[in-house]
Amino acid sequence: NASYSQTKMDVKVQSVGIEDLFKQIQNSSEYIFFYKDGILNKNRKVSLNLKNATLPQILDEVFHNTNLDYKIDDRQVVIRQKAMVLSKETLVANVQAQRFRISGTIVDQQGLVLPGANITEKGTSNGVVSDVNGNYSLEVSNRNAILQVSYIGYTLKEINVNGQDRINVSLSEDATALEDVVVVGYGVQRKSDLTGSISQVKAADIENRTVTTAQQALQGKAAGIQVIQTSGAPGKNATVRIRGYSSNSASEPLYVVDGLRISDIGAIDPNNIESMEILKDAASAAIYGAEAGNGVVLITTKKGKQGNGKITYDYMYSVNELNKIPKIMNSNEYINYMTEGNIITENEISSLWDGKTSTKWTDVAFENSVMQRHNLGFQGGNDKGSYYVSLSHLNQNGIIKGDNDVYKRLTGMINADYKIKPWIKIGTTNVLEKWETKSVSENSEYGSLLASVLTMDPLTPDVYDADKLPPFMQNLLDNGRVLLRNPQGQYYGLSQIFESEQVHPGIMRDNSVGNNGGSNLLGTLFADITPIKNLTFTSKLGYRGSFGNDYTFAKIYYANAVTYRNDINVSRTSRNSIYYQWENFANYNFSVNDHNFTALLGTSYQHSESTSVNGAGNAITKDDPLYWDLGYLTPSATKTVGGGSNYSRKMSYFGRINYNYLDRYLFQASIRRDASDTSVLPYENRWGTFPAFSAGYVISEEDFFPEINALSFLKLRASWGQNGSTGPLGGYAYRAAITSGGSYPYTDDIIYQIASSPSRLSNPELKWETSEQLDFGFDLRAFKNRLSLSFDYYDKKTKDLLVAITPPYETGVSTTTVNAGNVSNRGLELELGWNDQINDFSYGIRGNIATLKNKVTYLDPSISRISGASYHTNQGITAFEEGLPVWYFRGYQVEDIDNATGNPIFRDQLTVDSNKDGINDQTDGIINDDDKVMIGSAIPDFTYGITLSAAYKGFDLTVFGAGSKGNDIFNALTRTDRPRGNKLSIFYDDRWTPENQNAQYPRPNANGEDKYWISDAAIFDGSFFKIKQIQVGYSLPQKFSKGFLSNSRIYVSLDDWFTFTKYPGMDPEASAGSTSALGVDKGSYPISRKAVVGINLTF
Amino acid sequence: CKDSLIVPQKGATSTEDFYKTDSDAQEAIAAVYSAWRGSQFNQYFLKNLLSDDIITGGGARGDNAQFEQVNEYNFGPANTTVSGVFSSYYNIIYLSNQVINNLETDTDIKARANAEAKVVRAAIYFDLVTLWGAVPLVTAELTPSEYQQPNGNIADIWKQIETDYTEAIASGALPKKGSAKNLAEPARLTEEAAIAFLGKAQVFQGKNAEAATTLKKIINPGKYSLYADYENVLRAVADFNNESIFEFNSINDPDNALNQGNTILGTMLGYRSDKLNLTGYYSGVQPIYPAGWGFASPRVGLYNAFVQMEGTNGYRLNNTIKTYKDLMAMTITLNPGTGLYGNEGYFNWKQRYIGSEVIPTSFGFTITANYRVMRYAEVLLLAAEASIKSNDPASALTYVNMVRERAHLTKLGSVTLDDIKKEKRLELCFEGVRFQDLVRWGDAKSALENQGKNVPVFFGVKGDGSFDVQYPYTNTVFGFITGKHELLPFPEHEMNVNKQIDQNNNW
Repeated sequence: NASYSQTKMDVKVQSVGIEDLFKQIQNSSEYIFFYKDGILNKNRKVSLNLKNATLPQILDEVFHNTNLDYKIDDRQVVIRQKAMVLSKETLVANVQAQRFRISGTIVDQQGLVLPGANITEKGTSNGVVSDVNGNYSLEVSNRNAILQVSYIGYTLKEINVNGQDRINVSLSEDATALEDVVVVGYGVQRKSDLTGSISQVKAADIENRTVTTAQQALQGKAAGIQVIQTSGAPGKNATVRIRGYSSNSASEPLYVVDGLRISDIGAIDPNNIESMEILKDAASAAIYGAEAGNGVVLITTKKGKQGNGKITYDYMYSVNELNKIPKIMNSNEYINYMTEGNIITENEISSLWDGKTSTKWTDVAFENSVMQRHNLGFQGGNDKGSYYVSLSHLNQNGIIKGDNDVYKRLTGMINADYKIKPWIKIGTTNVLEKWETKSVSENSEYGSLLASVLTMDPLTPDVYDADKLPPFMQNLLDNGRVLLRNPQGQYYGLSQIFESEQVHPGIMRDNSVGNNGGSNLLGTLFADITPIKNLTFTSKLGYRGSFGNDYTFAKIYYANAVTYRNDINVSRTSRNSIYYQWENFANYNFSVNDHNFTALLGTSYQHSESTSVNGAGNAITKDDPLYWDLGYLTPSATKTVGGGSNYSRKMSYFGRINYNYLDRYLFQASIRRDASDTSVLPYENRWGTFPAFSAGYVISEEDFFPEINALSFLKLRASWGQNGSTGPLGGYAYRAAITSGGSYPYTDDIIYQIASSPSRLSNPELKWETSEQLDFGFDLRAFKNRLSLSFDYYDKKTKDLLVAITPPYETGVSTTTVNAGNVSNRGLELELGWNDQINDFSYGIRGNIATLKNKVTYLDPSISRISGASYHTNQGITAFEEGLPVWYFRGYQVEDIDNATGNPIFRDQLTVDSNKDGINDQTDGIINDDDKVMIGSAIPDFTYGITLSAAYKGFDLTVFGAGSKGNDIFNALTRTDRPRGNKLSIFYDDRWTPENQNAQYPRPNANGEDKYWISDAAIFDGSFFKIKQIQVGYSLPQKFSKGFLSNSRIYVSLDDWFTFTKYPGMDPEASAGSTSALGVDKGSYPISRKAVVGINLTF
Repeated sequence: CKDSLIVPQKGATSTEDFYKTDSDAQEAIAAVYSAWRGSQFNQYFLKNLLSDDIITGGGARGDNAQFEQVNEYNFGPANTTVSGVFSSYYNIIYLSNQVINNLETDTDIKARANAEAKVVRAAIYFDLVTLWGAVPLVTAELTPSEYQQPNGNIADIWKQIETDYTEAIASGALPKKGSAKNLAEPARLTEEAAIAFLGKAQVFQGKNAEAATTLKKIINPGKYSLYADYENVLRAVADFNNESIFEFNSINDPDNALNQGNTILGTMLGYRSDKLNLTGYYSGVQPIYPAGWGFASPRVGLYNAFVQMEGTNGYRLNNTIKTYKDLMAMTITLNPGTGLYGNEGYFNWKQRYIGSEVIPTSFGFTITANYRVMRYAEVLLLAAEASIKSNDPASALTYVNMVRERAHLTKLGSVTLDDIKKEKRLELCFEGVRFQDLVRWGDAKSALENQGKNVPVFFGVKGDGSFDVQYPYTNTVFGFITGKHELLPFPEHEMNVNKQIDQNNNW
């Protein structure tokens, strides 16, 4: 009965007590007031002057700014203390009498509060928004009402009230929310409208991880993206390959951060990333034309959100340690091996070995180290604008003992936008970064600290006390040689047994001090102008300034006859580069009946310039660290200087049209025209045109589509497009000009005649490399959107590869660059997700897998094979050749180990064409270069990743693993000319001996070892699965934070902790390079495993 | 906007604006010299490995497999040492053709550049025709439609060689030996060098009388003499000595230490410090630089040839080869139990790697000794051969005795062709002339038929004083095969890309 509440009355009191006021109302109406003794403040006086007011209006005035609350039930008015602070809006809503009030907190799966969530009573417009602490209070019409809780990006949830007056709601993220928008080139699109193949990696996949760069964060999170970690050293970037290996040269994707193209995304702190979109198919990427042939990664940094301001602070502390110590021979095994092979004689060992030393060089070289990271962020916004400001500091010390492998980075970010007028919004994004790295030598057969720990003989001791030096070292000192010492003053052990470029890891670390550092400034300034409805014109200026300084001081030292330095060398390099781009484009949406169109038209202009100066010298006035710089070179020092500057430009036009009919039929077409400057292509050939088409069919929107409850969404997609690649272009590769080619001295004095000659053959026909890609796929959602699945098949052909060919030798010119090769990459990709919530328990599984078939399909007939990486004097241990995967491993095939001799037997390939039919059908009886064949490939058959997440009340768990299968590794640690190097135990354990004639591995120093170490014996299966992260977090309940903290979470994590692999070396992920040396392990820095603790606070 | 995409190339001149001035000529011909000098390393190894002078050596079996294959006669067209020389030779021809065809000869400098380029072109074709036979004859820049050249005609190639030398000599543009211009720039080709090269080309064609006449133009004026101190005849102290016909220059410039001529070769030939105790260097007993890689050690057969002529204490022998016992006397000893791969107990002394020649800033890689392309001793022995073959034994005897005199050997009373061959082997060992001579003389089969059968490792001195040489490595395919190895194969790449060319016999 609502009649009482409609009772209107006049109240006019002056400075009366509340009890007196109640009495007055009781007297003039039928209401009865109930309250506990003592809750009314007897001293409080109120003054009111209300005419024709309802009781709630009166009481609102009275209780405004008090701790009192009221409830009207029929005639009864109950006065009580407030359970909580209610907003004015809720009080107004509470005016409705007879209603049932519910309050609670809205959180996400991780227990983080969700301010701004919508809580409504189902079937009504009655609703509230959760406050900054995620709290809400809502009066519903009855005790059996249904609450609907929604939040952008989360699955809508319905709760039966059932008389509960406190309902806490945990929302689960809607991973399959097709209404999500994804960032595409020059705009955003609804996910459901996509017709191309775009993978998305969101902030949740990046935050609280030990990854230091954005590339690393992509690993295992999306199908078809392979992350190659060429080094685990602090500060080293990973390399990304999207949908295979498209070229004989590097095939790096294009990175675009908030619209700015950048080549090095090291400046972006992963914690500042909101999302990464990977444009995989040609049609999605084609809007970036000539730069998109290897895919595009769009990075969107965090922006302030509407709502109350928020301050976040994250801290991470991790202890890093060597993941795996490969099994190598200990001193007894080493002696057995070397003496059996007569590589070292018993005599020599007895004279050089103390009989007990068995140094484990991995123990000498490595230690546990620490990485710390702080992130402080401020954000806020309203309907006019928003800001995001953050400061991050990273300090990573690598696992090599001491502080010679370090990465430090300080990053600031300032993002803001503001709608000045209804028709114009301006904005800016900015990153300021200062970085510094120190690194040790790796990945070289001529001196890698990481190779030395595996190849140094175990007979040499780690250190000697200064007064207990062996005679040969004392002799070296007496002869004026400089021997290096550890910080305790002990001399690093020198080996008399193993003379090599690989020496004591301490010497390799300490013989030079280096320091690279610099700063980056990058960002954008933009204005979005909306002159008429649905038309947005954007003008965006992107800038990047990069300033770097490298410094090295190489000391005088002596380790052995081939590894020493007689003069110091101090060098400095200063580099700076400026890049800017100016892009103007317009987006226009219009509809004709149910036909919806979006059109984009734009231009782009890019300019980059760089300057560098370097200097070096070889003698300083005083051997004191305070003098170790160019300013203190002696007058007679040999000094070198170098440097220069250059610039490059590019100009483009682009357009795109999207068509959508009834959300059912989707079509997109785009085109881009790019023009390069004359340093890249001849003026006449500078334009390239890159078209693309794609279409989608949302079959589940069709009327005839059966109303299957399980399957809620199904879209079929197809796309085709062409992209370009500029990678290896540049440097006037098409032009034959006269350039300086060295010099010649005609006398004994230092007087040179400069020499000049044509640099190369000209090739005015040179053009862009072009990738052409077909993609077919589908997306589906099922089981109330808990299941989501995306599938793609792609076939990517890259043609007109830029290849440096050698014409017939008699032309006299060794190489010229031509468009002369095709590569094909084909594969299947599957991304699968499942999210569900059972009461307080929510969980999710996301997995992805991608297969890859890579092949060189054509190479100009003038090139039989392009030689890639070399290993000591063996050239071309990788090669690029028609019919085989790019940069496959090339070498001899071992057929067997000769039971009688222990020598390897190599396969004599068919190399003679006896009947001249063009097919080789006979062997030639000699094992030489023509018997080398493909012995492996570093390209995996498939890569995969899986992420499991679960949350229960305040606890959350993430388990994430990534792996690859079918890739090989060329273990290039045994140099033939250094037979005394230590080896992996496998070569010892099952080696041929007179007693073990049926052995898998040859006898030590076997006949043919020169070929053996470049045969399939050096090839290992590099398949691996790594559990990259196991993280357990706990969010403290709200009551502990007392409103000051809206969220606090602590977590522990094991990152890169478990590796499953058969590779006997350090790290299957490590390889010498990402292009022609892909998969070659010459002693690369392994990825350490990390034990992590961290805290996330939100104020 | 259109013009903003035109970015001029720095450090480059358009081809249309070049080959005009004296300065252009100087730069263009320096590129020829530079490229020619750049082929030195591969030339040294290819020619010497094919000969019976040296064993590949190095750190261990396979340290340089490409070299071993050449040395042991089981290489094929894919061998990169073979293809490396072949390709660098045509690059030098290309650069020479640019000078010859694009420059007017209207000034002294341009005319000299033209003559120099012709001499270089002819010298390269000499090697090509003697090592590969019917190679493509290219005398002008090829256009793309001409890239695939057929085999040349051997007679035409020889004619081109003689024409180039003759025209260069006749031009009068080359400095004469001993002239002010020669003394000012001793590293340039002289007219006499061109004559000596021509004489050699004539000897190789069997034009003995003509050759004798040509070579006497060098000998008779008496401008050249043999350098007295044979021990240092190839060392830096004897750079540009009076015996030098032509050498590749390498100067002591610490600022450009790695841009010199003699880079890496010294290190390659140096004695291995991981096997030999070379501390003598430090105490100054012997100046052997202790960072060598131990390639190209003398074969015992060469040592025995010396002993046969000079005895074990021969002056020239002792200044060409040291035995392990000689090294021991210098306190250089094998580390206990160590085996020296590819060594039979003999060490190259004539081309020893000495600290005083190493540019310190080169990390030990560059030595300042010039690389001798031709010495007067070779001229004398070529002249002796030409003379004896053209019925002038008296001249031959004179020339051979001149060489023997410097070698501290008694003068012969009469001389045979065989005497000249033996003299030449010893006098010019390790200097890259032997293999072409063996083939020309028809002696290659007997000298080389077993080369590569066994590969030695040297373990020091046995109890009885003999050398402990073991042969742990054997080949099933080895040795010079008549009808095949007289000529090298055209490289695999050449065969793949040039459908016009025929491979040499039996390759």
